[in-house]
Amino acid sequence: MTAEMTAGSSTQIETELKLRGDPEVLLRLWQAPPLSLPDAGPPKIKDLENTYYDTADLRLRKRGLAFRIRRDGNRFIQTVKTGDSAASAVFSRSEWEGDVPSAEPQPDIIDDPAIRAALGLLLPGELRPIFTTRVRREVLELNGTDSLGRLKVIEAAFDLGEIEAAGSREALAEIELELVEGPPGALFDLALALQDVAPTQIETRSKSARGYALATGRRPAWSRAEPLELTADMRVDDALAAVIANCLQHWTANEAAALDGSDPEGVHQMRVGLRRFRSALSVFGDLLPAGQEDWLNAEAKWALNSLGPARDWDVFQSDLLAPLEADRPQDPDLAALRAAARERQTLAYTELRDALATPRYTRFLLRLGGWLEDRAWHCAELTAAQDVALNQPLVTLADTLLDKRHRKALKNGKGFASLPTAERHRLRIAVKKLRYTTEFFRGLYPAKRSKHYLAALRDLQEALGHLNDVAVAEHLLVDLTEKSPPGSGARQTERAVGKVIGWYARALVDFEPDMRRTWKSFAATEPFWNKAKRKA
Amino acid sequence: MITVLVANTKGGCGKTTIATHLAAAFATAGLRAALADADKQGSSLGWLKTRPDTTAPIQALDWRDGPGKLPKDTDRLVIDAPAGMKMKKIEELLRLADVIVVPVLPSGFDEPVTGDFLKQLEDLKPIRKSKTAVAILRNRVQTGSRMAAKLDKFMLGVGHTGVGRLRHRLVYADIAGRGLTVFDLTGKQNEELREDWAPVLRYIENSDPAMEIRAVGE
Repeated sequence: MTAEMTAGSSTQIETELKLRGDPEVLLRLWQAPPLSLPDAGPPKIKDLENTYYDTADLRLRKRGLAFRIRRDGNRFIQTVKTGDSAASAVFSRSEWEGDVPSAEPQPDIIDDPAIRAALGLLLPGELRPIFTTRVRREVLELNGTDSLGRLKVIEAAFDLGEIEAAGSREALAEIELELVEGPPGALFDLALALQDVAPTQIETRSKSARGYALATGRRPAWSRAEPLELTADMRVDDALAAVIANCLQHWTANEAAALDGSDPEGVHQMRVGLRRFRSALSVFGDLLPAGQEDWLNAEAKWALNSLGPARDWDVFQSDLLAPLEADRPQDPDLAALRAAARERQTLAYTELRDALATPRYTRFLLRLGGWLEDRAWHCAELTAAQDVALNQPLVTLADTLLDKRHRKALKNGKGFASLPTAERHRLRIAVKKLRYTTEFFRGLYPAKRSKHYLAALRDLQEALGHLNDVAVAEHLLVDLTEKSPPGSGARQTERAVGKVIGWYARALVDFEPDMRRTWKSFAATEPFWNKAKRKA
Repeated sequence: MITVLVANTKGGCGKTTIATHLAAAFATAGLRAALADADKQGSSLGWLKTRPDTTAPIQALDWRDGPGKLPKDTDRLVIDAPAGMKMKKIEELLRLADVIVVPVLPSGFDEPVTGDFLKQLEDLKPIRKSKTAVAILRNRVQTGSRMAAKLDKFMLGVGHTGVGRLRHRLVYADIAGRGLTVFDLTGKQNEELREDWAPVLRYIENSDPAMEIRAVGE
């Protein structure tokens, strides 16, 4: 969803939004009032069969290409799409399409040199079918006007069918909303209206990504944030839109991996994306209408909290329990605790899946998407002062904000050695906000100047983060013992909990001098942003 | 673009045959190919001059006095490295390369020289950080011979897997003087010979720097 959304209304790249749901949900939506407008054209129905081809070593996939042959009655249409994966950053999206005589791939007839180059060298007969999608597609064209009276034309395609790869099958039930004409926000409005009829989720994966996953048995991949390219003289308004889009892309790109749960990094990255989003809200919050910031923040906080327990149990097992197990192999108490923790982790992941399947989450994404597309912060509630600030060059805001956050961290950390845990927790939050602010804006300043500061800040955040992990673990463990049913296993678990808490209480005492040094060295590090501004 | 460096300090191992064939394989596949000759003898440039107009075009680059500018609008660049070159000289070319293809001969195979060369390669920065792939290509192989077995053993010893072997055939010598490769010829025999090249071509294709970005999250 997000790759298209960031394209904005100014470019010609196709804007589309995909929803998934149960086949019954799709049938209900097909008859829904939002789609049965009097000016909706008659539906077009088509049976489509697409076979995707690749080399045995999946080179096309690795290059972000999708090579498919569509069977349409007696016709065979060969299509090559670029930019269909995480590698899409290197290509602009483009497509080649042409008729071929049979279902046999014909890479040689492609006359677009850029697409030829992207395909690379293909040995004779090297392309083979990887998976096939079969869907019945019903398409409605909706004409109308949006709330501001602007013309909008949306094509709603309902796809029901299956993906087949290497003998396995998976159901396909999606709605693709494509904007033919009009403001991109109109897509989100329609999707929200459909949400009132029956619940759907936003589908972030393309059909080809799902097909490859089915064919290879590979789990969904997690990803880091895409590089954010901000410049000193760009308008704050554009930077705001870019930062929000970047965070949204980051967390939604990790949704599939988080739901899958086989790699803890999925939930972790999704949480990082959401936290960066909240941090962006606090960076730009003063420039947004108050009501808007509040609901965005509340929804993001809810989503983040829904992922919290899964992350906490992941961290507990991999980072906190593992060192004790290594030191005391064969300890039956620890084994009992490990089993109990796994059970809690499974439960937490179930809750996470439930939360992400709720209409609340889908609505949050849709409202946010529409808000971002339309830059809906430009509304009646925006003050004149905010409007002026949004038109400033970014570097002015960056200097001021970095300064504010830096000072706040120094203030919260004053007298570090004697700070009680609660105060250190407050410092940790301030440091985290400062860290994300520097991450957003570091590109505006020479890397050479920011290097030391960023390293010192990272060390401090990690040290405080460890402190927090231990505090969270203690909380989790107390909760675990209070909620587990009595029995002999419970006693073992309780003993293990005592061991873990004792182990880390002692470790924190040992860690304290190191922590203080880390704080001192951060407090002594020169900031990298505009010095003149800092003195003013 | 993928840049391929064909190099071995040991002379006469078929460097030019391999460089010209790789360039022609890419060109006949419809890719924009360039062949840079960094060898003083200029055999690759000579081959390009005799190449008939009717064949798939390959851009010629004269790098005999050192690496020139990288060509624009090129999909595959093959560099024919100077024979017996010093490590210092090769470093400059290595920085440009995504893949290094090292041809070795089973007959009269010079184990110490090639072994040293590979060891020196390993010590170079881009390879140590495994940014550059090294592929050993066995050339002029008489299948089943004792020398072939010895070469296999050597390769295992230096920790490299080969990327296939090229059978010894007279056709290579016959067509070299006419600016041709087996990729430019028709006929069943040539088709079979082209199959020898599949592993090295696949290896090169998988060394595409455009794939790196994707590897991060997977």
